[in-house]
Formats: sequence, C-alpha cells, structure tokens
Amino acid sequence: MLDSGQIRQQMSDVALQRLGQISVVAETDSSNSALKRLAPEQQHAHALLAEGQTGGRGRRQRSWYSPPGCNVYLSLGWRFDRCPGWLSTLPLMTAVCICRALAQTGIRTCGIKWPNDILVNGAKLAGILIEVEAAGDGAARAVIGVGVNVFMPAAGETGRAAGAVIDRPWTDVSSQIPAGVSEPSRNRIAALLLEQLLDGIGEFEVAGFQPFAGDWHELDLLVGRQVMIEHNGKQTSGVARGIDSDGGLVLESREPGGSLVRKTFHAGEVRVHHA
Amino acid sequence: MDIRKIKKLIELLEESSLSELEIVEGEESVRLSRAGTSGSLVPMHGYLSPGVPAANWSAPAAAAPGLQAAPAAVPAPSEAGEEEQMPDGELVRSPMVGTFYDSPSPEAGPFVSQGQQIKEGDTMCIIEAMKMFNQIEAELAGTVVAILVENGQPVEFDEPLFVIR
Repeated sequence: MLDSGQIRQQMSDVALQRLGQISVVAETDSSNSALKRLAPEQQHAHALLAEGQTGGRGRRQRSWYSPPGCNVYLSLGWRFDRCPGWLSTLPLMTAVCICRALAQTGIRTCGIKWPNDILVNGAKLAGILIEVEAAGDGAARAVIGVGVNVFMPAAGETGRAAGAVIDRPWTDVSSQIPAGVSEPSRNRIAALLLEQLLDGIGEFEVAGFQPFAGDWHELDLLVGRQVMIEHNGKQTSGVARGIDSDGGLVLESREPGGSLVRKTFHAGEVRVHHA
Repeated sequence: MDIRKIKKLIELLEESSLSELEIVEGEESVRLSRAGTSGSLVPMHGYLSPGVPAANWSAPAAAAPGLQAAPAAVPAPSEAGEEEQMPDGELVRSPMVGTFYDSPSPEAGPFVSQGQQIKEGDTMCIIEAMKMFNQIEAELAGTVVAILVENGQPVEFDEPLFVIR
C-alpha cells in the first residue's frame, strides 16, 4: 500500500524541505482533478497519490488505464512565480526528471518521445499530464500529473487484460527491472519521482530548461529520425532536429522546390517512420 | 473583411511604435489607432466596398503615421454577407504559443459561446503547448462579443482570442 510516511522516509532532507503535504487517497477520478479541487493555497508543494483512478486521463481526456493498487498515479502542485508562457518547457523538464528517477530503480533504457512520453523499446512506461492556470499577479499554478506503470495485472478488475484496455504498446517497471536488481516498491518509486521532481523544479525555477538540455538530447528518441507529425488533421513529414527554446519540435522537410526548411511544432501526435 | 487580416494588422501596429496604421487597397481600407496610452488597440474606421472579393485582399506593410483619428465606425458587411469585425471591448490574449481548444474534451460542448454572459474566473478556453494544458480564465465579467480563433487552431503568444464587453 502507498504510505506517506514510507515515502517521506526515503526522501532527502533537502527535498522534504521543499515539499509540503503528501496525501494518499484510495481511489479518485484522477489525481490531477483531486488536487485541483483543493483550495489554491493548499495545492502548492502538495503531492497527491491515488491507489487507483476511475477516470485516469491523458491528453484531451484520453483515458489512462489506472487499476488500483498496482501503479503510481502522482500529482504535484506547484506555484511558479512566472507567467504561464514561461512554462512551455515544463513538460520536457518533467519527462527528464522521470527518466532520472527510473534510472535510479535500475531502468536505464528509458527514452522520451517528444514532448513527454516515457518509452522503453517503443512501449509506454510512464505518461505525464500537466495542467496550468494563471494565478493572477503574473504567477502560474501548475498541477504536474505523472502515471507510471509499475505492475500491470494480467487481468484488470473488470476481468479484461490490461493489454486489451490500452490501445498502444505499453510496459511496466516490473518487467523492465534488470535481472539481479530487486523490484522497487511503489512507495520507493513515488519517493524517487518526488525527489527528482522537487530537485528539478528548483533548478528549473532558477535557470529554466538549460540545465536539462543535455539529458534531453541523450533521451530524445526522435532526433535524427524520419517522423510524421499530425496536428489538426494536417500531416507533416520530416527529420526531427531536436527542440527550440520553447520546447517545440523542430522538423526539417524538403519543399517541393528541393530546398530544406525547418518548421517548429508545439502540438501534435508524432509517429516514427520505421525503415 | 476577414477578421484574421485585421488581427495581422493589429500585430503589425503593436510591433511598431506607430500610433495609427491605415491600409488602403483598391476600394478597401482599414485604419487602426491606439486607444489612449493603454496600448490596447481598437479598429477605429474601416469600410469594404461591395464587389471587392475579400479573398483578393492582401495586407501590404504600408503605414501612414501622423494621421488624424477618424470617427469611430465599424466595417460594413462584405458582399458575402459575413459580418466579421473586431468589436470594441477588452481582448483576452493567449499567454503562450500553442493550440486553441474551445472545449474541455473533443466530445464536450464549448466553454463559452458568442453572446454568453461570463463572470470572473470562468474558464474560457484551453491552450495546449507541448501537451501542457493551460486553462484560460476570464479576468473580468461581461459578455463574449467575439471569438477570434477556431477550435484546434494554432495561436501565437499574445494573440487575441476573445473580445469581452
């Protein structure tokens, strides 16, 4: 079972000083929604974990399969004394932090598919959903939601196998832990995630994305690959050339005339062309 | 006149140090003027003659500084009957580059519709950037007199999204 005391025990003093409350709820619609229902002043530095989610969601209300007692569904509230526009690289920074935390469990094969899908060999291990709103006086309130598949049951509570519920390739921590390494508990994973996120946010507040750019480049699964991005019904193909300063995906395509042009995308679904 | 063209002109004026901008092409013209010292822009005058297809209208980067303010008037409807115009009111702008969504999910109805009364704190739209969802709330109460962007459309930083009066 998730336990806030056990999570705290496995965190450093430095991280604990930055963290306010840790709440564990049995089952809720989604950890992001549960955190957002709290009064704004209670959201900052508040980590809310759910044993299960009945309405776990990803981008544009796409569902995130969330059976109880097997995975980590964590939301961290944070008030940034910056305008929301400044936060455009927050999803990328968060993805880097999650990869760092997973590396500490022994899983060093993670990569990031722009902007923030955490994959191992093309299968999704963790996902991120960040929601932001202006807090007035130029500040922004963010809710950083992280879902990590830890131990997906062969059959979900409804009797359906997870594989039949999730429409894309997925994996979990228990199947990615290298042989000879002990499987981490969910409390351990939650502690590692919070440690990295709190440390990362501190650095991000001071220096922006720059301190994460090196790790991002190492973890970027798209750079140099031929990809297709679909946005708003329009498809664009090209070679991924990393990210711009806002965190947008830079795509290099050949124009009909033969010249190479670079375009930046801030939204869209990316697919990798396999040769 | 296509409201997007007017928006482009507003951007042109905002990026400049001009207090007024007038564009004339054929029998169409639009004049924009800064309102006082607040920096917000409202179209002061414009007309569109019947018989000039809006699609042929392009925005040359011409500027005419030093003009006297023209009497306030709204653009006349185009021949096609479209009454697109930038009404007076407070502009709600995008805080970031991203994609505009008018509803919480693809299946749900829009947060706000034209003509709707809103109060401070009501959610007006969502801007998505890098899969981060930025909920835009009304900072003042009023009536939504114009929605300037379409669902799913990319928006720039500071681009006007709504007019509230």
